Amino acid sequence: MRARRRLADVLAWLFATAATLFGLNWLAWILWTTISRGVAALSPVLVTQMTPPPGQSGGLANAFYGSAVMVLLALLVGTPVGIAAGTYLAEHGRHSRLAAVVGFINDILLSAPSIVIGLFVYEIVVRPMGHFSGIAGAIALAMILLPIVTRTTAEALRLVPNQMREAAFALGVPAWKVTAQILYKAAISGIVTGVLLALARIAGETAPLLFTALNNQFWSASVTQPLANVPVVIFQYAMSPYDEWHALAWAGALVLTAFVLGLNLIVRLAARRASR
Amino acid sequence: MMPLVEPLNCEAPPSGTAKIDIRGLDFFYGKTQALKAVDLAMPAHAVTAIIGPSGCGKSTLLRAINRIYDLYPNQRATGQIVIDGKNVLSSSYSLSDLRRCVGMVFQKPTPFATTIRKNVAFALSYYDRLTKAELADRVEDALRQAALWDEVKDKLETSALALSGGQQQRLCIARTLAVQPGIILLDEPTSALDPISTAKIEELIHELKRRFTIVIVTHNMQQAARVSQRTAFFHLGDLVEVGDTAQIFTNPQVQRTQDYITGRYG
Repeated sequence: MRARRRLADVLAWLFATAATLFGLNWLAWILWTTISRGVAALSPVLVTQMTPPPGQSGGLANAFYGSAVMVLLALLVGTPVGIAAGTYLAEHGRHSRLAAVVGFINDILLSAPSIVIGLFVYEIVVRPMGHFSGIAGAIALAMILLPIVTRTTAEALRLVPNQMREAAFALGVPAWKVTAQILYKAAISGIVTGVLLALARIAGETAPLLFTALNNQFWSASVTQPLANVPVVIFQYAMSPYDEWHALAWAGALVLTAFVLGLNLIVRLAARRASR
Repeated sequence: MMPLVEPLNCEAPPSGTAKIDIRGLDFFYGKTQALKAVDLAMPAHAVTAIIGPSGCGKSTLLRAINRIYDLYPNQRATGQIVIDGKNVLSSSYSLSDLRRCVGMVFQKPTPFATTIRKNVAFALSYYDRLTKAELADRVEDALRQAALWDEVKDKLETSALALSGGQQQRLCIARTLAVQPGIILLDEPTSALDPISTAKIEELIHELKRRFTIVIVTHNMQQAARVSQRTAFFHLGDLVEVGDTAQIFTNPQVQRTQDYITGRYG
């Protein structure tokens, strides 16, 4: 009896360990390949020169700029709207039918394939404008960011104990002040975590940008023109037959991965600090 | 000895009448009735204790007086709660005015996730246009009244969450006193605290009744006997008996009251 139990214990341990190693293996492999191939192509030129034509050397300056602009625009538009919507869901509309419907639709948007969002923005922005543009890319990214921020804000506010809400209202203070000064303060780490995770998510999105910002081989600071961006450059260069382009694609992939990894680390640290 | 003064924001009750006069109060959670035709008058500058077994409606009564139940759409009260001559249940009565005049302290300490100073100043800066110095004075004054000033005066800018449970509860009392209410509702304020913190809060209640009208819900009958002048016993949503505390505990007129205070149920 005892021997059987011990055997079962050892087997379960072996299985769990093997499963973990199997899963981690791929992650480590991906990271290793990205780092080893990417590091070789890292150089100061990466941020000073434009994407080169085939056969010449160059950098990714225009792609970094374009990605930064679109992600930032999406963040500036999507974050306030998302926080406001999440606040409505969790606070002011908490007992209303409308909030239940909005919450449900938000969840659908949350799981919508990003390529569908790209196509949608193509139809409503790119076609009427007549050409691809950075602003269309930013709109598509904002639409991906919005439901994530809405959902995490609502969840973070729902975690604030009801007693704190009652204690604040018992002072006779109106709802907007309770929300702005008491509830947001109590939920801030959850809300910031949501925004950072959404940021990490849109930084690596490729599909919606293919239909909206497209790409731009040259330096262009205008958001009404097609705009270069890291994910699409990686996609196009990695598919090309040229070695210089391959190297740049790996460098771009490394920078992007490091950025997303860094954001996740910040989220972790912030969450740990908040829980103390 | 502090004189009996009515705080600025609240009118004195018409002379000879109760501060809080509850008439025919029914309370419903959805379809469940939690209070049945309650008539209860509470005198000014005294502590009224509400006692009774769990689920008897004691907390519900408090939650009706400052209308905090308004936050929940399926809860409603009918009847009258007359404070200083006006029915506060009428929909024309401003919630903000009501809650400014009727403060509430909850069972679990509920400090806001901010500094000690901002906890106290939060509602103040909404009600009154104060200069920085005036605000600082009001915060100090409230903390002194809650017997907390000496313990926190050097760390007003630190997080309120770092205080002990008893200090947090006194901070919640200070926060309530800061807006200068006339009535303070205490919902089992010491049930989450250790005996020493409990003693401090009871002492404080004794001090505060000079200036405020206090209603305290408590599970602890010794506490009711120690701090209150009037006691009301509730059972299953009915007000069974109300009288002077000494009389309720030594010479109850109703059998159910006697059974409860002698520990037969509850």
